[in-house]
Amino acid sequence: MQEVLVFIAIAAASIFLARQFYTKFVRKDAKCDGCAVGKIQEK
Amino acid sequence: MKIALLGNPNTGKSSVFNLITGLRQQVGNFPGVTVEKKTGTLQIDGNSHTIIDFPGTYSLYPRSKDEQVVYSVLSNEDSEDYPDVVVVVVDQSNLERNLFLFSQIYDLGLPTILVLNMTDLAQRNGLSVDADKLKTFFPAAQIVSTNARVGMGKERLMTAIADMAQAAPERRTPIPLCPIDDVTCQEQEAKARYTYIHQVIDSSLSRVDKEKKAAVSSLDRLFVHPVFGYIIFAAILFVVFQFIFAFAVIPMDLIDTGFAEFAGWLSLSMPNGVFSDLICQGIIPGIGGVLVFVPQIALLFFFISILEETGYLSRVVFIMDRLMRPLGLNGKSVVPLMSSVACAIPGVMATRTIADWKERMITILVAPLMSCSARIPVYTLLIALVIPKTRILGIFNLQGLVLFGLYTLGLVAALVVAALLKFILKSRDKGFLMLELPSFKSPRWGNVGITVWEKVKVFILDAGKVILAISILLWALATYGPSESMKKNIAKAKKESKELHLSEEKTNHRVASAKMESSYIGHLGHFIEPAIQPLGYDWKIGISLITSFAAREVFVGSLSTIYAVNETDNVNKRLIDKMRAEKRSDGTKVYTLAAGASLMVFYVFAMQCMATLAVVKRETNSWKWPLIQIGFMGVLAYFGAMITFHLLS
Repeated sequence: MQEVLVFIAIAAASIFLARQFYTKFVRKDAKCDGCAVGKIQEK
Repeated sequence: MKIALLGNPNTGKSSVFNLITGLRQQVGNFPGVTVEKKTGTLQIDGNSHTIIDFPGTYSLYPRSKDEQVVYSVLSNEDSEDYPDVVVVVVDQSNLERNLFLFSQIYDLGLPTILVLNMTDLAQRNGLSVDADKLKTFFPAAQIVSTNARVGMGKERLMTAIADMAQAAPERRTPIPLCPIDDVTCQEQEAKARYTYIHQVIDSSLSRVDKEKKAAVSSLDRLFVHPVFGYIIFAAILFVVFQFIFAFAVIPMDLIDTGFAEFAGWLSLSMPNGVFSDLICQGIIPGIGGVLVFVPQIALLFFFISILEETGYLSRVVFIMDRLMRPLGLNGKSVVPLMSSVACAIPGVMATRTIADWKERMITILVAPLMSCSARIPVYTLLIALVIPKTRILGIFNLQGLVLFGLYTLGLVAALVVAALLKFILKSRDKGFLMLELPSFKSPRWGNVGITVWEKVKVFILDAGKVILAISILLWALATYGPSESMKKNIAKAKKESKELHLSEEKTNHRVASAKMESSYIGHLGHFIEPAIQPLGYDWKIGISLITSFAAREVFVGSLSTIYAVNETDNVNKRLIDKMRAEKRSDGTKVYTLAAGASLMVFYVFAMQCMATLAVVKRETNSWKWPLIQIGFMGVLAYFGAMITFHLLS
């Protein structure tokens, strides 16, 4: 039983961290395209 | 009905918004840009009205992205946010400048309510506004006075809005605005407006007591003085850091001991097994190791909030502008840099008010060098570990002095890097700072309390979740490993202990160390050890450096977990005691003054924050800048730490 709980905890922690990484670095944030400093330079 | 709430910065616009909407608020973005849009709902006579809080602006002609929102909405009747009624909040004690924006909005012909806010400040400055005379200059506007900070004038304002809603006044013929890029037209308009505003002021504003104004001015002369201004600022910071160390010790010790005792009690109460090990050696030390620093973070924000509430921080921005300008930074960079003392994420986002690309980019790149609150757990743990608790000249706490020095080092590094970037990045534009020095006010303790609570909550919930997840993974990596090599190492440790006739406690410690050395994390740690040895670190510190890339405070949680797994017999021993006792294989101490100072310098310079990198990537719309940032900060951290270690060894 304890092993199962440990497995669940490790899986949940891994999924949480992977999700954090995806939302911060991979997912495109369409709302923010206009605020990018790169766009100011283009103008 | 759609109501727009407009005004200059520092007029108490947000207080008016909170006053009339209460908690019926939503925060989002204006379409197409990430300028914050706060929307609230008003219920008047059974009818629901929407009120939008626009960014503070001095004029309808935009200089920054925030101000552009106001222009683009009010100059476009097809905009989804185009208002039916405009409420303009003005600071009564600064009527001349505030009426500039109001007169522009009034001339757009929209039904307008003028809110004369901050009546208390005006009275304190000996100023009195005659609303009836003011109305003769702006006959179509409704005028109400409020003091939103203390909740005064809500009924008057609600009645004025209700009257507007019932009467549904026709829009007057608008006086067209100048084209957005025609500066000459805008200058002529400004001259004409100020001539008119002077007539309005002469007629409707009376000054009854000039002495009080003079007293405030002399205080300001001191705070923004080219020499005394900096001395006072440094002295205030110095005292704040002394207080943080002096006052936080008792609650920190209580939390630290409490968590250690709790882990010890739980390990005895729970049935033996891997899950109870995970709780007692992974999760509780990981979380407890970081929660211990809540009192210091709360104290830091308590003092920052007081400085902000009193209006002193605006004076700091003003004096720092002088310092920043030769270094390629705009005075507006000061606000993001000061925000970065709390957290680099809002600091980087606050650079949106900087119109010039080069100045904005430099500010973004150097903002994470300012010591943020996430560094406090790392700094204070290391300071408590290697800096003696002595007093200099009998009064100054040496540990507080070192903390002050670390913050100063971060600031100096930010300024030096900015000066270098000034020559590397190219731009033809020149920025400027337009800053209002708000009147001095006594702090509202309720606001101070809310700020402290919000910051502590973010620290516990946001950082806490990541620390919890990393603690679980670290525990697993430190507990499991290639079974063959683990069995072999454990057997070897037992055999050696038997041969040396070690006590049971020492044997257990030796076995736990051998187990960890052969765990996955042990293998990874030994793999990276050659790279960090020149900085004075062992492989356990190396592992914590890697995990703390997620967030700096994870460093402390990681060490707590690693040492907890390593000391299975001493679950209730405090982290700092475990670190003090930590020795290398040759018997020398791991945490010497040289190694501790090297770690502190590493954390002053290193870009150990995943969330900040993500925000920089988003704000620059490119991977190039965050990679440059992590590169130069990493080089600074590595060589800074190496030099420190060798100088102090």
